[in-house]
Amino acid sequence: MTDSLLSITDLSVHFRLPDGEMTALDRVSLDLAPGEVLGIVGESGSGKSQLLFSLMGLLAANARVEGVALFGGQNLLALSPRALDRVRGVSVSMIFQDPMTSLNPYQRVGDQLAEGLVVHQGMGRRAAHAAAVAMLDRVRIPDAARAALRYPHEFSGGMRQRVMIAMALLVKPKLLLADEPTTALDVTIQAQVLDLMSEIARETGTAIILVTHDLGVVARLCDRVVVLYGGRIMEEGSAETMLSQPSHPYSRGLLQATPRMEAEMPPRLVTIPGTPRSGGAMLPGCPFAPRCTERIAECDRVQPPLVPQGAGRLACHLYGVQP
Amino acid sequence: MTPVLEAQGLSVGYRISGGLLARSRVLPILHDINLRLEAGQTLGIVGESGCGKSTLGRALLHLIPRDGGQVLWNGDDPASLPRDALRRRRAEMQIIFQDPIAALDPRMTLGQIVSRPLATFEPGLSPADRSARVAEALRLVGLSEDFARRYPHELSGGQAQRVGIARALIGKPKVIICDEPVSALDVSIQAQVVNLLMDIQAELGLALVFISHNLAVVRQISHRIMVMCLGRVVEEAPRDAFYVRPLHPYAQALKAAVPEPDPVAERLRRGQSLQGELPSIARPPPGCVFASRCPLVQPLCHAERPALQALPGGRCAACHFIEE
Repeated sequence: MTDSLLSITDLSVHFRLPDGEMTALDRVSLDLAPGEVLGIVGESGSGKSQLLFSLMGLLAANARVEGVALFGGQNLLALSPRALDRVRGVSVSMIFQDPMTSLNPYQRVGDQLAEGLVVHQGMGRRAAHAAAVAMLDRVRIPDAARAALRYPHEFSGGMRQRVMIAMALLVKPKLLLADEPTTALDVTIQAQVLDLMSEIARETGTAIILVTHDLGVVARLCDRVVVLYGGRIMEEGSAETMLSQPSHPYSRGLLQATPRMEAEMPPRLVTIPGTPRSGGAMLPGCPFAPRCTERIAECDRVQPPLVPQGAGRLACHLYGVQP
Repeated sequence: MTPVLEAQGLSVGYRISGGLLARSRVLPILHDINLRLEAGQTLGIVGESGCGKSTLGRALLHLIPRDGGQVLWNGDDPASLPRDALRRRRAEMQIIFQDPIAALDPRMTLGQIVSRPLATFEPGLSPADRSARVAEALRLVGLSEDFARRYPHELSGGQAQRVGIARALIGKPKVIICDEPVSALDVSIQAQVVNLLMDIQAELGLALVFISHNLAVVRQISHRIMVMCLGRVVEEAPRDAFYVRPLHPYAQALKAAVPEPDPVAERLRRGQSLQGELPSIARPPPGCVFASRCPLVQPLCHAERPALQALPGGRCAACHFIEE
C-alpha cells in the first residue's frame, strides 16, 4: 500500500537465552494509515510490547530482529542509531505504562519538555519553554506555567501520565506508540487520559498504535484492532467487528472473559482454559492450539496462514477457510 | 444471626512525624465506617486509589490500630480478646493480596507456604494431618497435590494467586479479605480466579470482602456494593439495584468511567470524563468529598458534608441532592 504511514512486513523478534532462542514475535505484518488509531491486544507473552520496542530500537541487547518496518521511506529496523534518533525525536514518540520511569526525576518538567524541541528542532530555549507550557495547558495541567517549574515527583500518577503525553505530542509526531498508557491509572483518570488522546489524535492527525490488554480501552479509542497471541497475529478487523463478532476462538474467548456492567450478567464468567504462553520454542501449529477448545488435528500440526477475511484478516483452520 | 464481620463507627488514622522538632500528628484516613457481612455473602468495596479501601481491609483484620469505633468478628471485638485467643481467632480472618508472586516466600516450597498458618493456628497437628490439609487446600483451588513440592518461581501469576488462596483457606476461615486479587492477572486468568472464589464460597459458605477498582469484576462476585471516596462511604446498595442506577454522583461517575468492550456505547461516552482534581487526603474539603469534581455541585455541597442517609430498597447514600 502506498498510502500507509507505517508498513510492517514479516517482523520477527527473537531473544538469545542461555538455553536457546525464544521467539517473541513471528512474522508479523501490518499497515497503519495516517491518523489511524490501531489497538494491539494480547495477554502476557503475546509479544505486543516487543512490537513497539522493536520499532523504537528499544529491544534488549540479546534481541535479534528480522523484517521490514517502512516509515517515511525508511526501514526503521535497519537505521543507524543516529538516524533512528532523528526519527524518534521528530516523527515518532512513545509513551509507557509507568510515567515515572520515563521522566527524569532531577529535571524540572518544563525543561524536560523543552529539551526535545531544542535538541531535535533547533528551537530557542525561550520559545521551547513557551511551547512546553502551552502543551501542558493543552493536556489540562492546572496552572501550567507554575507546573512547568515543578519536578515529576510533585505530580500525581494521572498528572505524570499527562506530562508524558504532553512530552510525546510536543514534537507533533506523525505516529504515537502507547504501551499500556492507562493500565496503572484509576478508571476516572484513565477516562480523562483516553479522552485526551482521542481528542488530540483527531486534532493533529497523529496516528496511534495502542498496546493494551483491555478491550474496553480498545472500544473507547481504536478504529482497528489486531489480536496477538504467542507472537502471531490471530485476527485483525475493525473495532466494531472485533468487539461484536470476532471469528477467532481466542478473540471470542477474550471478549467473553471480560466482565461487563451493561450486558446481562452470566452466572459464571467464561474462561479460557490454561495459561498464556510464556516463552519457549514456537509450536509447529497454531500457538493458541493448546488452550483452544475447538481445535482440530490440523491445529497442532500446521500453522494456519493469516488470510483476508471480510474487511480484516484471520489465522484459523476452522473459521478461516471459506467453503 | 450474628454477622461474621461487622464494623461500627470505625475510624482509622496514620501517625505521621512532623519533622525533627514538631510533634507527630494523626492523619485521619477512615471516617465512621459501618458495615455488616453475613456468612456466604460478598461485599464489594470500590473506589479510587487513596480512598482508604485497603486500609479498611487491614483495619477489619485488626492489623492496624484504630482511632475509634468497633470491629466485631462474630460479635467479638478482637481488640478486647486476650492475646492467645486473638491468635487462634485470626485463623477465621484471612487475606489475599494483589501481587500473587510477591506474597509468596521464594525460598519455601508451596507445601511449606500453604501449611505455614497451621503452625500458628493448630500447632498440635500431626505431619500426616498437616499434609492432608495441604492437599485439601490445593484441591479447593484446583491445583494437583504435586504442587506442594514446587517453588513460587515455577508458577504463573494465576497459579500463584491460587496458592495465595489455598494458604488463606487452610485455617478454615470464615472471612477472606480479597485486596485487588485479580488486578495483576491477564483477563482470561482473572475470569478463572473470580469463578474459583465464587465456587469456594458456595462450597464453604465463606464471607468475602472483595476490594477492587474494577467495577465490572466486582459486579460478578458481590452481593452488596460499597463505594468509598476519600475515606468515607458515599453509597452502599444491593448489587443489582446499584448497577441499574447508582444514586451518588460519584458512584455514577465511577461506573461511567469503566470502558466497556462496546464501540458504539463507548463512542458516545468520549469526552464525558470527570473534570476537576481529587482533593488531597491531607487537606480534606469541609463539604462533600466529591464536590470538587461533581457535575451537579451546588453551593451547599462545598459548605456542608452530607450525611449517609438510609434510602428505600436497603441502600444508602451521602448526597444532599439524591433524587427520590
